[in-house]
Amino acid sequence: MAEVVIMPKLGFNMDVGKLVKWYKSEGDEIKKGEPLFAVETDKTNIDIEATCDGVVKKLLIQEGDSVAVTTPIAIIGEENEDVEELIQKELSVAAGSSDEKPNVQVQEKEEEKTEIAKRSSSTQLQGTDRIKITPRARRIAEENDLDITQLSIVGTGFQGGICARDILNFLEESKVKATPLARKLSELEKIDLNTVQGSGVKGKIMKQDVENIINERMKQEKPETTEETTKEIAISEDGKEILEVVPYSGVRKIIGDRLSQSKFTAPHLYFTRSVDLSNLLAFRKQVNASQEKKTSVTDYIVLAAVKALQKYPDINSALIGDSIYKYKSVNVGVAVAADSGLIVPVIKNAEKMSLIEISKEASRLIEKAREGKLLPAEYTGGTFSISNLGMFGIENFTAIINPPESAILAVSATEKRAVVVTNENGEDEIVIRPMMNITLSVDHRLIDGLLAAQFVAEVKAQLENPIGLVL
Amino acid sequence: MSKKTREITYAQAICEALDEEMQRDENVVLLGEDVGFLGGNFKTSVGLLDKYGEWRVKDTPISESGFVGMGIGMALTGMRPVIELMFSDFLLVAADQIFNQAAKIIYMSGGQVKVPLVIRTPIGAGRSSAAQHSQSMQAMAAHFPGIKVVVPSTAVEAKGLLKTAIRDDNPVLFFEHKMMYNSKFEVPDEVEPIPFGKANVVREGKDITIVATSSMVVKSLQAAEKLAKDGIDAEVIDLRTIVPLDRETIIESVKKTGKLLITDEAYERCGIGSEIAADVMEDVFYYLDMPILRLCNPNVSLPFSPALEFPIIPSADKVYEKVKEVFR
Repeated sequence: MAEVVIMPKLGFNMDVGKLVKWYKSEGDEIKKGEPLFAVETDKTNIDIEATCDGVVKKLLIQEGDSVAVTTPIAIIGEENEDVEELIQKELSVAAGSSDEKPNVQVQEKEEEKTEIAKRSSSTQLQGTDRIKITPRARRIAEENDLDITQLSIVGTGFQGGICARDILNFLEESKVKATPLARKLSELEKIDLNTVQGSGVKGKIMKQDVENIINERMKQEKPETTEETTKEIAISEDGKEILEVVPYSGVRKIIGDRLSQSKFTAPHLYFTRSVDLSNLLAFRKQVNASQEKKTSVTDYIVLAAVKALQKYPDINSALIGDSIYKYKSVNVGVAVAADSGLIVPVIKNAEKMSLIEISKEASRLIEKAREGKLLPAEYTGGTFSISNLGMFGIENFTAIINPPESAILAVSATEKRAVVVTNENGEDEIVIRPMMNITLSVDHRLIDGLLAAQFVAEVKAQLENPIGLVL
Repeated sequence: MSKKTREITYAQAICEALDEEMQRDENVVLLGEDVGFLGGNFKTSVGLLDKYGEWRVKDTPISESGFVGMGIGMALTGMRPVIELMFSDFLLVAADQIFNQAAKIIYMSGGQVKVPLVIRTPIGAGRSSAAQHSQSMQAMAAHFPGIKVVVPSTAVEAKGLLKTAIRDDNPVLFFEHKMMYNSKFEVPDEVEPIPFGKANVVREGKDITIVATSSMVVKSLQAAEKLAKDGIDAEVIDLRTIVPLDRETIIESVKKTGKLLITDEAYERCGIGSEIAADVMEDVFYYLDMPILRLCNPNVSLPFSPALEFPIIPSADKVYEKVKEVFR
């Protein structure tokens, strides 16, 4: 039985592995434990050993290629074994993985590989970007919220197009992958496998994943009955009294890992300005009185940021691999505190929206976020983020950049302050004004101080002269 | 209604329908070449001359235009003539009477007069009758407003639909399949009129819808049994009438199966398949999982030689092959 070798995931944040060397060629014999290839990680090159004896039947990628983790990269089999069918199958998986992650598909062979693979796909209509799919299959895909263009479904219908059966098979296959033991365990414990995050290959749910859920559940269920015992053990080794111990896992861990990845890799630099909101608050009152949709201060800040990002597109950028992507699309993430934790829904293509459109979209997304109903497409793909803690009275804070974006704007509370202004007669005087602090965090690898300062000044100017926002 | 059945041929079923309708209504008369003394070219009026006499069963000269015109005149004066044309090819001889006169009188008279006329005529190839005696004219007939077009598949269907045709107040073209005349079917002792415009789902299935007319219904059922052995579950619909067309039954079925094959023995070009495909498209587009297919007579005149004729005629095997092709 032939064995498929996959690109291993060698660290939590490893999405893509670059194959630097094959130690064996196709047709070579290999023994279990012998090095087969070397992978480049962010720190060093690691040799990966074969896990079985056999002959290297096929190398699916070449030295220098970068592919997503778990992508099939080689097939080891017995000398006379026919693995042609398997190769075709795994090649289609490999092509699929590169399609799914165009952002991280890296440099060298990009043009010829992804492009040619896409064009030659049997489901592609010749010379166009349209996919060959029957109306029925398209309808079923839409009913199931599948984006055909993002999936590499191989058509088996009329003239090789995607038919209803292909979509149904895809749905069946993508249901939930779980080991038989994990499935059995989840049945016994009445756990919905859809809610379990798999840690195995291609997200397969392992016994351990289900056990983790069971353990968490037991902790939540037993606060009363275990009161006495917890009292006994609720003292840490160094004598601290413990209120509660919860595992660092799930959403908490994802948030934690992403933020530490951001803070440890992107050198943050901060710029604060205070903004006089007198005009804006008056303007907002007029807007809210003149039409139905009630706008929030955040809506205006989003719009001001959009205008500033269009003026300074270098801020609207991301560092991915060895390239800096500067985006024309302005997709603004707005951080929302939901029950499950922090989540950042994204207002897509905000540069094409009016104030009211932004306000409506923001309300829709925030409501979905609070209900925990956001779709992945609705909280990914941002180019810039805004975190507003003004409603909690915070006077000043700095935010951590949401990778791979390069900047984030922290918005603090509006409060009446005594400020010095120059009046019409050219005299300084102290007046009371509603003031708000905004702090921009930038990734210094991409953005220098001058640009950041200009950007913050532009946001401030937009907010202080709000009429410009709607012109 | 009696549950008893007996085995009779398609031709006998037609003869019985004529007999029962003539008995029921004295205005029903039969005209045509050889319908009386010989009992019909295909034995569809045997015994009727003896039973109803020469005033009601009339042998006519070989003059289709003449006796069809006579029938229209009789219909206008309140009779219910049933005319037999020996071959449907001869519709063209009487075409002016049928399509310019019978079909249009109700419109041109503002509905003041009607033409309760039935023209029975055989269609279909398979008897080496060559190019001028083998055509299936239902597609051409269906093109004209003002004519109802009936394509019965079996003896029961022929009997029930002919009764409805005779009772209808408008011109009806009733196409009998000449290769079916001698086929035997189990028929109940009593057959009620079958309403027009209501297709019959003769086999339920989930994988593909086969809409068939006339003899193609039986052929499609044979194909469906063969397909079932390959794991393809075909639904077969007997259209019964082309005008009026039961769109709803077809649409409902295609929404279920996602695939549609229309099979009919008239020529493919501008044919029944083309018409139904275009007609239902707006309603089934987002349910289709395959382009709509047609299996009809190729666009060529029918040859005399059986060796050339049979490869052209749509058959059960051709239905099977056509379906298998797209399920490969």
